[in-house]
Amino acid sequence: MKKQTFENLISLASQESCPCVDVTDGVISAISAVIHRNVKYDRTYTWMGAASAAMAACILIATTFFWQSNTDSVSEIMTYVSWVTQ
Amino acid sequence: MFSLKNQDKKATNVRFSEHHDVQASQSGDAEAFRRLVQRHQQHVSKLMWRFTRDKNSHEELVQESFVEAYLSLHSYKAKAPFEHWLSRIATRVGYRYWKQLKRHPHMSLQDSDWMQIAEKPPASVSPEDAADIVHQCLAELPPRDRLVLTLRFLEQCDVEETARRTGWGQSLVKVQTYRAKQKLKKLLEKTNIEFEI
Repeated sequence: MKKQTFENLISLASQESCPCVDVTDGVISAISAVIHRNVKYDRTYTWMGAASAAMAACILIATTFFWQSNTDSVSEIMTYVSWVTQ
Repeated sequence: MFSLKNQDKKATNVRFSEHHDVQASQSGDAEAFRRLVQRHQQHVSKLMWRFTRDKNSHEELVQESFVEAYLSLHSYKAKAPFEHWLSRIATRVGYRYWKQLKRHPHMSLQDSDWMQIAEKPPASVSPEDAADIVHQCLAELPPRDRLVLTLRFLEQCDVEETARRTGWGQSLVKVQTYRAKQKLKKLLEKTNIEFEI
């Protein structure tokens, strides 16, 4: 009996037709899910960013206020000291 | 002459509309990407059929290839045809699938199974049977060897094309092909299939 060769099998296999698929809807819904997830993450990051910015602004205002009040008392002491030394 | 001109015009139109769809998809137009999927799904399907013989896995792989293509669309620079770029992504998806399969316990073919392979006389083997036998034989090899032989012989890619699809250098492709052929030759000694490539 004539032996089967791998080359023959490969050339036969190359002629094979593949099953028909229609993945269009699946791909579009998978992509929409990915986009939706990204939008959700983007929104979360936006909120986190806004909250951090608001917190930073509060801290800045408080620090400025505290610094100014401290600076006033220090300058009062300095005025008093210079007056005493004179 | 006239029909040749018409064909050229048609091809140019297809290229133009494809380029337009790619650009629109890059800007987030899902409808444009839908058109690209419709245009190329048969090509990707044919390629993914080399990676699995299971219809469910096959459909999943085709879908995964397009999703991955969409996510990498920003990296497409239109230097090569879209189909070539897509083939590279699909090859990567298929190769990853094989590597995942290898991580799970794998049922190797027994000696008796080997003897049963290709029992039929050469004339009575259908393309589907031949593809099944080739798939079973190649499945016994490590994913790298399997990939290089699939691309070189089933997909009929030359060394340059194989290197482009795998991302390997051309000399690596040559070495890998040689080694894979040696391993396959050794495997086929157990069967009644002669190794001649």
